[in-house]
Amino acid sequence: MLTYQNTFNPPKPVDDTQRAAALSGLRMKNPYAAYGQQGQDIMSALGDQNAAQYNLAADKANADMEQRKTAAQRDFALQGLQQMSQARQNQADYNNARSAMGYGLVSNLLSGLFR
Amino acid sequence: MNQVQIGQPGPDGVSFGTRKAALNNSLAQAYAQGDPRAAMKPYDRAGMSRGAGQMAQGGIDATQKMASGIADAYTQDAQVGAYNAANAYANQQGQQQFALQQAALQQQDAYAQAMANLQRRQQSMNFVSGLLGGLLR
Repeated sequence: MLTYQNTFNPPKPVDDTQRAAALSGLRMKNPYAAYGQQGQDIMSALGDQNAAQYNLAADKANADMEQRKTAAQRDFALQGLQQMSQARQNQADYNNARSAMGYGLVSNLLSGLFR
Repeated sequence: MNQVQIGQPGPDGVSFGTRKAALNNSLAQAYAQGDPRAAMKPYDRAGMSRGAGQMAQGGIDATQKMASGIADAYTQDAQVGAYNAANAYANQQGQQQFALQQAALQQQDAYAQAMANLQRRQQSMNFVSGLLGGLLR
């Protein structure tokens, strides 16, 4: 369910410090040193790939959040317009009821006077 | 400050740079796997020299890893493209729906106002007609 907290005031996205902390595990020393430079190259490539995948996932999450936010804004805007329209209708109903009362009063008065 | 903004362009989806970086890094990882020397290592046995069979198997393994890595990279890139397209479509659909709902609401509002005016006019007509009916009786 969309609420203010998860639409207009969502938690901040992961910042660079947290990202670096999450990736530090990937930059550890190659535990398979015996595999030589090729192993190091693969480890390094895996680390870079992982970082790129993280950014991709973060971009997707942000895009999803933006999409939901936009949809929620449209819903709120429409609800506001509906309420404004309803308020105008209520006002017109009130005015009509009041004038009906006035007409009724005068008409009763006249028919009483000229009976 | 959170303000409702209407008519703004929709979210962009995954940015071009991120998408390109993901593809390039996945490809680089796949190419790194293509080095047969690392793939030969799992077949090393203590006290045994490396042989042609081990080298051949290492080469096969490396090629397989590289090929599947490349395929995965392009598959993922295509998925990101599809995700972006679906996002843009959903946003367009939302905009269109919003515009239609607004138009419907305006129409309904105008009709309600017209009906209220009509009702008011009817009241005055009734009054005048009652008055005239009384006078000319």
